[in-house]
Amino acid sequence: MTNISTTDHTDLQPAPWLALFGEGAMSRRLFRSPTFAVGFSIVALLVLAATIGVWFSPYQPNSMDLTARLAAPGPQHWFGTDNFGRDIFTRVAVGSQMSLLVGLLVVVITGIGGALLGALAGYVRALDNIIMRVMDAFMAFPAMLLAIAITAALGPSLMNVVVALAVSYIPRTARIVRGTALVVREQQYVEAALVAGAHTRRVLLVHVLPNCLGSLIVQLTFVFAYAVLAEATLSYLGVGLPPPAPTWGNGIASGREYIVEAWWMSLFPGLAITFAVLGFNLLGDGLRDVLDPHLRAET
Amino acid sequence: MSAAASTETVAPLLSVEHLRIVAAARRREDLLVEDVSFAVHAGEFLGIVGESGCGKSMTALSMLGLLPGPNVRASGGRVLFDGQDILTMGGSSLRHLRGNDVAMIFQDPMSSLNPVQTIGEQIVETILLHEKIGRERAWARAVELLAEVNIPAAAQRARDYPHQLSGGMRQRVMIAMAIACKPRLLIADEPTTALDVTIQAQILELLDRLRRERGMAVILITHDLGVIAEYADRVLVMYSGRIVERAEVASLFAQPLHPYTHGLLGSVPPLEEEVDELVAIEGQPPSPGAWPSGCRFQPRCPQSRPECASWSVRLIESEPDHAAACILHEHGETSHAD
Amino acid sequence: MLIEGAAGPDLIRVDNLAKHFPVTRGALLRRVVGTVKAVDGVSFAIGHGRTLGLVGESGCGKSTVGRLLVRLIDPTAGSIMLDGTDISRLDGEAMFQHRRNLQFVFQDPMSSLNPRMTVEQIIAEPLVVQGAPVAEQRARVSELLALVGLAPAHRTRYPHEFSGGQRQRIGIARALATNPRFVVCDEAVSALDVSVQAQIVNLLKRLQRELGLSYLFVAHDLSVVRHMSDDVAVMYLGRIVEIGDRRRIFAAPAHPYTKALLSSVPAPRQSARREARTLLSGELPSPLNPPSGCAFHTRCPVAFARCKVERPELRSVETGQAAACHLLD
Repeated sequence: MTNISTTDHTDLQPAPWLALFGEGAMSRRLFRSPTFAVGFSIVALLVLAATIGVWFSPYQPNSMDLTARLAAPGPQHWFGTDNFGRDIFTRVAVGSQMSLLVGLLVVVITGIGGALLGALAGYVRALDNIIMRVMDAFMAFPAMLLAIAITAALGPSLMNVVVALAVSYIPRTARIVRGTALVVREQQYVEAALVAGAHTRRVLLVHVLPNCLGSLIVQLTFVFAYAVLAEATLSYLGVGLPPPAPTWGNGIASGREYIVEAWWMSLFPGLAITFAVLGFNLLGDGLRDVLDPHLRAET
Repeated sequence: MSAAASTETVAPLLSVEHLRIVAAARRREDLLVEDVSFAVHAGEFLGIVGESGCGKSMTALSMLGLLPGPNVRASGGRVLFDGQDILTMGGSSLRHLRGNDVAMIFQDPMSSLNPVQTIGEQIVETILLHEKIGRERAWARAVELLAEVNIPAAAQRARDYPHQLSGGMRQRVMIAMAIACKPRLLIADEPTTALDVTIQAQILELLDRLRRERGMAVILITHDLGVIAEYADRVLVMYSGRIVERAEVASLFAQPLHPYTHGLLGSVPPLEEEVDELVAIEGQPPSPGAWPSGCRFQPRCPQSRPECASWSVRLIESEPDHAAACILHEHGETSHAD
Repeated sequence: MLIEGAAGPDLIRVDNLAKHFPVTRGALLRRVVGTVKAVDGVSFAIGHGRTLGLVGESGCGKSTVGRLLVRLIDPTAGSIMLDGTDISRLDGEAMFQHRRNLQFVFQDPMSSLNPRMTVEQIIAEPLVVQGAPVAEQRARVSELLALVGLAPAHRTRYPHEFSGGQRQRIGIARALATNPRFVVCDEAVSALDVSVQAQIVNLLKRLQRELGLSYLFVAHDLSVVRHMSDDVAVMYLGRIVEIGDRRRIFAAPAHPYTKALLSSVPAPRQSARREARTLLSGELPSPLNPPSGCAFHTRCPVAFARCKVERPELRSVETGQAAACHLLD
């Protein structure tokens, strides 16, 4: 009566962390997607630039050298210097630390807030209308306007920027998690837990949330990209991290007045933003191709 | 009814010869169907029975040039309809074939129907694709077709949208669309699996009536041996991409030759008598790519012998119109040849 | 015995059970526009170690009955006696105490197992919920794996690594974790391939013999129901139209619907070329607006005037068989 399968499953044993996604050989499938591979490379490069890129530079991001003001890109200053003679390469590299830090903090807060609110709204019927109507109210404002309003009210600082961005992205994330949770709550394993007598908290934490992770992770990579862009925008508009913080947005803003004689001042921070947003978007697209069951083509 | 009797004299409507279908994944090719050969004659009711993954649906799709390429493709053999090889046909002749000669219905009619168009309009579109008649005449034809598939108050129902119909009604609409252009072969892939038994009986009766009235050949693909027993003239049993038994329906149920067919019959509890325990087949069907060598049923077979794993599998005809791909009947083959 | 209820102590006794779903329109300002009587006045009893098969077409309410019995949904009316205690109105802690005795095997071997949990976590879940110590959970999982025919090595695997039949074994192991006395099998084998279906049917029967389980076996496949059940109930539009001993129901069905249902089943037998079969015309009426009188009269081949106005009650036909039809008067 023992039923040992005739097919051999040994090659399907997934690494424990991959089991997070409930699929075998996830990493192999991920890198099979060119979109994911390119996005992953860009993001990796960015992280490298932020961590060890600074070591390649002999300059401090805020040390001024008035003899070398507005120097064009060259062997001394790879990306040139700005109107105070500060090395732009160093500032872009340090700026990527800021951008990634802001992005990461926004993603963590948005992830926790969005997942909890979304899962609650999706699973607990009584809370659905209350939570989602509040989220709708937030979503009625354009995200950027909301962020500007919050930072304007709280004052410019790293933490305030993070809070402002997280507040603008949580409603969208919550809405996506809620959508998945609505599907998960109809799954028979949720009913099985209820038959056994499981309480709402257990069902949420053990069944609903883990199965919303896929769509949450995809959404969060996009949030990361938005956050990087939004942080730069806020800096540019003067409501983000105040100068002389070497953020990309500040870099573009200070280069605006010199755009004719020193185009590199704005160009390189601008390229960095483009690069980062592109990288995270590609990463998200690649992840979605693999994680989103609606788009997944089974053979 | 007994089209099979004239098998030898009349050229078959459709003949499949050594069909082989593979699914290509990165750096490997999995066989889905191998060495499948059979013929269907005009007016015949052929049943193909097998479990999921046995290749029955892929075989059916290849008969319409509908394999989900480019990953899945026929890599060998021929599918001849009226002497023309469907596998090598180009786009326009395939479209002509699908519209005028071969039609297919599927298990889930909802996904084949356009949800924002009334069913009448959808049938009209199908008619107009293949016939040069006016819209009004086409609408009248559509209503006639709906009446022919026993949809009550056809003229009113023609104005309904798919979601307003029940599953059984939707399947009738699919059949109406399929017969709109008077095909000579209708392929039905699990057409009643999603339906209740009372509705299933109605749909199968309808298919059988249309076959008789129109002289159309029907290939019915199913996992349900009962459906085969009641409607098919001849039957193919498929397992792991191969035909393991081919027989006239009466002889298949009177004397199944292949151990797999035996097992399938034993797996269904009888409706009229009592049995204590079902004679289940151990294990489960292997997935494509994990097929054992030799006879693919051998790891689950109660009568397997060591030679089975190296046997070169082929259908052995032990009596007229009844063949099985099993080593147990090899002896019969040699004596037959003598 | 099933209807009169005079005989011995039953494990489960259901009386006049009903579940009405309100039908609502509008998203923000919801208003009730009607009621679907998914289950309406259903009564039956299931003895210790016995199986009641519940058959009918989709939408007849058979699955709702199963969900009511394990209190996945709350009944609108009626009582559910489990060993003499009415559990139909219990909730919270009081209901929790009874949950270990009531279990459920689901239809879909895919969606009934959480893809992010290992086999061990899945099977142990009822024990975790019921607060069993970890050591006991581990030991019990080992026992259960062996009981349902899975290998010990399977405990660390994930559901997607298994075939449909094996997944269903995992689902059965989970249902048996708390040593329940009553298990609802809701279409538990209908999603499986024929050859695998027979294995699971045999497994369920063996487990019943060895553990003395009682089953409510909900299915649309009549031949499987006949094989599994001691008694059979046939439902149509939320009501039981015929109930009784399996042998009687299959050999001498009394209700025209049961007769039609039985003759619709294609039998895999050589002699079974369709002859005098009663084909039902038409489809299941909308449960939102069921026919008056006997709900079956719109499709019934032998309906007469009275059927349209008066609803027939279940009445005894023979010992251990009852049907709701005016022709039986």
